[in-house]
Amino acid sequence: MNVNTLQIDRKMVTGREGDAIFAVAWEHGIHIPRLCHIGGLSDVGACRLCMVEIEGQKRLQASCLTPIQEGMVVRTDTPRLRQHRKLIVELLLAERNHICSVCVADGACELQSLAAALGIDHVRFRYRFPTLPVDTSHERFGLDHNRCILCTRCVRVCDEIEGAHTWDVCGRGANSLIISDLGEPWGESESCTSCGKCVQVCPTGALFDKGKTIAEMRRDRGFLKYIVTARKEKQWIG
Amino acid sequence: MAYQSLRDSDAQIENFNRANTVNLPRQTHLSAVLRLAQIGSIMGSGGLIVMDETSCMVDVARFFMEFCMDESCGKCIPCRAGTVQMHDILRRITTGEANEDDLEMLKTLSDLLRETSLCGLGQTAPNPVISTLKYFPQEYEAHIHEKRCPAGHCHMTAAGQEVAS
Ligand code: SF4
Ligand code: SF4
Ligand code: SF4
Repeated sequence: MNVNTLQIDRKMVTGREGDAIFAVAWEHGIHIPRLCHIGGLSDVGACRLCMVEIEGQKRLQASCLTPIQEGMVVRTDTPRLRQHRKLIVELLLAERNHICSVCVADGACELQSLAAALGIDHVRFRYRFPTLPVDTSHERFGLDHNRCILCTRCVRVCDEIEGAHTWDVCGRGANSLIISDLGEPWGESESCTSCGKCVQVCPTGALFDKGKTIAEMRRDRGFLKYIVTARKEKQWIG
Repeated sequence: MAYQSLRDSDAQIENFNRANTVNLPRQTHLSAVLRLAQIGSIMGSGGLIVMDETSCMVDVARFFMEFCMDESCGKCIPCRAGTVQMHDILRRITTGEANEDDLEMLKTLSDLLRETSLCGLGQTAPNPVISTLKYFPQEYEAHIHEKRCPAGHCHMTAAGQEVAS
């Protein structure tokens, strides 16, 4: 195993060759913001929140998709990056309906806590608030498109871990929508095994357990580490 | 038939760079003038649009933003949601409903899309805004401060007139 040494935010760190900057930073307590990444699933570099500055490179890079290199000098929290991150989160808050006080995920939402961490106290954009459907056709779960930020964690966990590939994205641009199978209601999906993995990885209040009311939705993500290490390292860790 | 020598057209490109407008003698061969990289442009798929003073540059920027908004795949947030908000601001400038803060936000969003979008569509979507702001700032200012379209193209709405008065 080859090891690379690099500098992240003036801290000397080491990581395995080929590891992403994002993973090495988190291992060393430098918590780069993210919404589409979740440990255990493949990375898509879609939210652009984990972008970092690398010395000698003009362009910003998505740290979840950029491997470390020997001698690299990375900055994860500059005024320019903070400005970009704030704008991205504000864009999300204006894109669909995020009224936290009536949301199942209130108090345990990654979008909400990121907004708070970035000091967002108002949104500078006009709220789009499109009227989108809520799919409650599944026996145990629901999907509220109005809270969905299109991170595709549900798509990936269902495909990569459960192997069902119930979810996908239809449409494009601002009209993108998560769909089950070929657009059938979730409850009528033939591929869904009702495992609930998608509900556990959703960062917002979009996917929820039925019966949960405002601020009651809490998630269990332990299963991801459990399954992924079992598959990769043939070890069952708790 | 007068055909511009290369040397003459070099001088014109120099003038173009300085003044950003160029008055060509009749029947100048385009290839002699348009060395695009030199004047800070790209050719893309080979399209060329000719405009005169009756084209409103803000509306031109709005038109191109609408195109990018419709073409955005939606995978990354800056392009998917940013083009929507940039288009909304540009639309409000053309109807006279925008203010100075909107103009600032337009610039801020231009930086965001250029620097953080996942692909070339989002990264270049702000280009028409950036270059019209650079070369025709007075057109933006007339719409925002005087609620007037210098090209006579945009119709200011009642809401816009109210902001002005
Ligand atoms: S999904 Fe998160 S940000 Fe959106 S309304 Fe619910 S708690 Fe608030
Ligand atoms: S419950 Fe399981 S099988 Fe059904 S959509 Fe979610 S992850 Fe896929
Ligand atoms: S439903 Fe949840 S997990 Fe799926 S794309 Fe939307 S926000 Fe992400």
